[in-house]
Amino acid sequence: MKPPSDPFEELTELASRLLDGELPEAGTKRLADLLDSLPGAQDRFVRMCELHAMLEGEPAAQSILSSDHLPENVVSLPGTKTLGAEAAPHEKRSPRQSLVRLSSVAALTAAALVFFSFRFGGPDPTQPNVGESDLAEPNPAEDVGKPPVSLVDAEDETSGTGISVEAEPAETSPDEEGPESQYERAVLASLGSGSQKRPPANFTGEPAPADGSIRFNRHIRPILSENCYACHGPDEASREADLRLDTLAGATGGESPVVVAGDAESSELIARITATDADDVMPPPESHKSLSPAQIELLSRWVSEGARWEDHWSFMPIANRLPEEAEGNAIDYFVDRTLERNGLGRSPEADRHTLVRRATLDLTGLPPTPEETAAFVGEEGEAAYENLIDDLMDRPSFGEHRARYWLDAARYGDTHGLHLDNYREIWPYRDWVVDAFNANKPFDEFTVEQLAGDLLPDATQEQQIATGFNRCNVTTSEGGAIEEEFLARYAVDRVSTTSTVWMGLTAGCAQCHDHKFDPITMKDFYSLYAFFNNTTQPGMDGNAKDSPPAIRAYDSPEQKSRSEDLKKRIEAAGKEAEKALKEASFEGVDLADVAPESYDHGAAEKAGDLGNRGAFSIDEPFTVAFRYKLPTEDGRTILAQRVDERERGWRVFWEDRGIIVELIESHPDKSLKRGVTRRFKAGSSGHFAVSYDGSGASDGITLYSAGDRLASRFVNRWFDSLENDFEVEGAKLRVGGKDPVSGLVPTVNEFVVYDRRLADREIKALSELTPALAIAKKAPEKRSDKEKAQLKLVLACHTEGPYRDAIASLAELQTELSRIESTTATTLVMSEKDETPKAHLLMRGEYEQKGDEVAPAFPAFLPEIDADLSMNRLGLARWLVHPDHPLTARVTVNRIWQELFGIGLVKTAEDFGTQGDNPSHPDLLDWLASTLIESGWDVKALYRTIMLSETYRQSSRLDEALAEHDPENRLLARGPRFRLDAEVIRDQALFASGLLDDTVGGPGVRPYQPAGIWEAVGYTNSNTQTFFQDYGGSAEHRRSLYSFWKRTAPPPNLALFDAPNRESCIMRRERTNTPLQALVLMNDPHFVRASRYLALRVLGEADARDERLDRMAELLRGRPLTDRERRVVVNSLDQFLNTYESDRAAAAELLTDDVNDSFSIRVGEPANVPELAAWTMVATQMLNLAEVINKN
Amino acid sequence: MTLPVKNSDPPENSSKSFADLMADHQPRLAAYIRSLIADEHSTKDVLQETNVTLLKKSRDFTPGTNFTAWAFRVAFFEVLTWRRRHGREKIHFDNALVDSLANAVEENAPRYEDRLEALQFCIGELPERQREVIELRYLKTRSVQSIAADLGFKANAVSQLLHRARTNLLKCINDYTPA
Repeated sequence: MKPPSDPFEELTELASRLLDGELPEAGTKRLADLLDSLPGAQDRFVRMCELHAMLEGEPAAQSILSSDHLPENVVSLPGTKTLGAEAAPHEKRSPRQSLVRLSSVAALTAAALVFFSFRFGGPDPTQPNVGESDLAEPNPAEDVGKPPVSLVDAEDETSGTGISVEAEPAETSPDEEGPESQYERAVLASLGSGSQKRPPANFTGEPAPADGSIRFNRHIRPILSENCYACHGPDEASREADLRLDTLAGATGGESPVVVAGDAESSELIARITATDADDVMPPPESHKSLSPAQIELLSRWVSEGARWEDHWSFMPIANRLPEEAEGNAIDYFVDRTLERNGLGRSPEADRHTLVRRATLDLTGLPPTPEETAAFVGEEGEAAYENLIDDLMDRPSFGEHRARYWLDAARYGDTHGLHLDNYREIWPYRDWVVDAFNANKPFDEFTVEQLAGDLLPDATQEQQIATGFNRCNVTTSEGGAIEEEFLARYAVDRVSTTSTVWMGLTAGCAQCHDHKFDPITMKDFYSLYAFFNNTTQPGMDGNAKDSPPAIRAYDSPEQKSRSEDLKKRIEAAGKEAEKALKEASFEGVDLADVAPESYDHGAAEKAGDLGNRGAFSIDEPFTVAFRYKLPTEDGRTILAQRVDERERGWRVFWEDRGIIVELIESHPDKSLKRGVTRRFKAGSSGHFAVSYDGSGASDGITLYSAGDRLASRFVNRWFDSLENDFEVEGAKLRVGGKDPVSGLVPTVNEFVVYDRRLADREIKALSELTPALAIAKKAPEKRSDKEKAQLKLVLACHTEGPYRDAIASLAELQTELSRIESTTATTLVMSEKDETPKAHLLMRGEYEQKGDEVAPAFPAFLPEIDADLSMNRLGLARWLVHPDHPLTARVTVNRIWQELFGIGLVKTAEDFGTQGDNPSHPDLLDWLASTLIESGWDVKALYRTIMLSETYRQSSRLDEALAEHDPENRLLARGPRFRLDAEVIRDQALFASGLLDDTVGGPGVRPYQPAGIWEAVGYTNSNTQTFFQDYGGSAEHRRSLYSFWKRTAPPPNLALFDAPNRESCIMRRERTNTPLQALVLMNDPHFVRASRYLALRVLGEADARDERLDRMAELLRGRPLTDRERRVVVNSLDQFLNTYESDRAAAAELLTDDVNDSFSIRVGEPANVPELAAWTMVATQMLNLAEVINKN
Repeated sequence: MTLPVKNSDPPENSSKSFADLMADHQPRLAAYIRSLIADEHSTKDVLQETNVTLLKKSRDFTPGTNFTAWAFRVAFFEVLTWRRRHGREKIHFDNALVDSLANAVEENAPRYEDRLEALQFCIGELPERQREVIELRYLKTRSVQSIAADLGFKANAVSQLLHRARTNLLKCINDYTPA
């Protein structure tokens, strides 16, 4: 498209193409530029969009388009506008108009349905017992067409508004508030429903303050922050009229202060917010912000009462304000105090069945077994509960469950996240987190090791692994990406993540400008940035799993010390060999006599056959070397191979101008391919060698060209080890020859094969054999010094004597080291340059627009901490966990509170700034924070303290009055009740069915997912382009924590339950409720398999029907069925039995596992097939119960 | 204190049910959202979100007040939410531009019904060919590519035709909207 010369014409054309979906990215940019710069462009654009919408959706316009003859009333429109006005087109609807109208109503209905199911579709959360309606619904055999939305529980902790859907406008509320403020409240509340959204700026449960009790932080700052700070806040660049309202001096200082304490009349602030003239009123209309009468009233009263100022609560010191006279549990004391103020009381303790399930899910992410439940229920008394908590915290599953939350914050993933999204090996960091929680590592150590473990004196391997926290950010290696730019982005990510996780600050906003709402300046941001700006990491990750800096994570200290020992011995052996070479003399030795026997295939027409040589098993080291001349045209051809007819074995081939070595366990999926692409041109020749250390790992394969090591890479597969042997019987070694497919013929000479891994210099000697033979033919006096040295090395390598012995033992040591190293996982770590950290301000966040240089420093607005801290990451970490730091402990206890109660004391767990939520219980938050610090940051003790409170143990029963008054349970008048997280739902199903494999740690596993998901997002040359499922219980049934996390396509059955993609730090997951979730629970092969095994399990563990049903219910939700429930379940069991008796094929099909046939259930007695199938369906129903997918 | 709304709705709005108001406003809301995010596919998503929110908040709407302004404001918040959720790849307009465009739509809003009436006349004024592509595009909801295949044109020619048709329609609407 050639841009027209008239910019207005160009704009119209761009907009037109945009509306047709035909405008490329660059065109949209140009459009944005024109809209910015061309006068009148915006109006034109807006009119274009309007025209498009009219044509597309207005029944009147559609009607005209569909009619050949224009209606009379419209024909006469020009000039006779009264006619048009009298006969408004939408009042005379043609049949077609009605049709269009119907369809738009249908769309609205669909929207309403989603909302209805979200709010009302689920079981009544006020009923702890599952009513009949719960059980009657999920009957897919009966009613497949019905959307099973009601299966997903509609308990909705986050909706928060309690507004119902009504087609007709409701009566105006008798409340004195005007509709605007009601609306404002509603919109703000709705915005608070997810982690990415803004919550209400003020805590709505707060009663209006009595006279004289207006608190700036609680009542005034939220109003100013929401409505004023964008233009009159901390950001100097966007500050209007040189007025700032975020500081006392700004509001009350200067020549004409806008706030005159005690005198609302003369305060310009009050005059402006009450102005009626559009030019004077604040906030100005175009800001889309406005104050409610109640807010104006509050501000006026605050000024009249003296305009008392407070600094932002979260930046003030943490104080333990527990009164001395307070009795009993401090948590309950604070909660009761707030409840009393609101005229409410605490709920009674939950029943024992509910309590044991709640505690077990909260501490381990798994449900209790029926035996554990029975033991707890049978044992009365406080001690039983305390013992339960202690016992649960001792289980390895405690650390796994805690780690799962932390890894959301740490944005952990198993791929790099950008561009190719290749495999990244950093799971040792994930395992470190699990271990840290299980070992109850104090939170200060936990912090210091993750942020600066590498800087600790004599850092251990574990401390280094911990620094993986700051290597979890997404990285790229895309061609054309600018290294400096990406290094800047990585540092920005680290500042943002660190600020969010430890301080609850949205520091990222200060990357381009001073923060709009919080006092964090650009200088503060880049001073923090400087701490992270001193890394040895390259900007491009090289698409490698071990992008530097990386270390090997040895399994054991012994292995690590063995590796260190080997490295020392290798160095010594090298020196010894040097010495031996110097002393040796090869006078009178003829190279031709000692040269290895090699196979020449110069003739090349027919494939060479070397019999049974080259037969290696997976654990046998070997070396293969040869001289080649490649065919003169591009293509693929075998250089050497030993494979059987099923193509198992090993081969070296040339393809796509690369030489690739492949060890094939089973063709075509399970093989290790390693090679160098696009380096070997058609017609070229040279010497090639490959050695293998017998480790079964890709890193154990080393490639050489002309005797030098090649930096090779893994080709096309990301898993990097074989499990089973690749040795084959009945295959023959083949060297060169005509390729049966391409017909190309390479020339291969000097082919040698060794059953050990040669040392580098031995391979060098092999590559120099031919030139050395030529040198040997010369008279000694005609040889140059270089030739003499070359010949001597080749002779030394091939002649028996001290040198060859030394080199052979060197090779042996190297092989052992290689085997350790190549089977030990690598993991990404931080490491610091020697220089002093520093940074430049980056203007507007652009890496190339450098401003002033800044040194690392702590944000100036936070209290200065009196401690001798180094100005590097270690100092930063110690500053964060210093007892005087006002934020770290508060943010940490809040995050933990949120895990247990579903919502934090500060709802915005990620934002403790002025735009964040005020704490619902400020004194409780501070008490918990100071307790955490005083306990020496004892994390398990904190969980214990919270869970032993009566507040935690309350029943979650919700009556209507409470639902109305406090739908989100911010006042804590009841126990927590919310949908379990994605991982817990899956793990629970596996656990209850007895399938769960509880192995802790190790590389990520890939259980089933629907086909095509990775492929849809994967670049063709990405090593995670194709999804390969792992088979077998040890991979398919591991806890979801260990599921391989490809960032551009996370496991779909977890993502549907709001698991994040882990591209950036998430402190608070969304908790949505969609029909798709029920479809997953009913149809996802994991869950169908779990149902099958759950059915099998209860059929085996109990005899009578009712006992079996009770057992199933106990396994899933911790208590047997009531009689009323039983009638419902039995009814559906009978129906399923009938269905499957008459359709045995369907029954058999249900018992067949589509994903992995070894998990199909073979029933010995054919008569039992319908029975097992019916029980499987009942199990599916029960897995869907609100009581099962919720924590109650 | 009232919302900063510049014009009130035509009086007939006050007699309509909430559902009718919503149905009537679908094209206007789509236009509003599309103007701010310049992405066809996401416009539908954001419109859907807006509808859900409107339903949720239906009780907060006072019959007789300006529905258009209220609904636009809800849509504006949904657009902001959408912007927060999407990375730079989808966001074409910066904050200032979005604010300014939102303002432009709102300022244009009062004459909507008049323009719609004018449009009905103006469609009849289009040259045959232009009217044909507009019909294919909007009545049959066909893509540019598929119209091109049908008519045996190049896609670019169809785009040009559509562009000219829209220019003509806009000019005509402008001329015939009563002052």
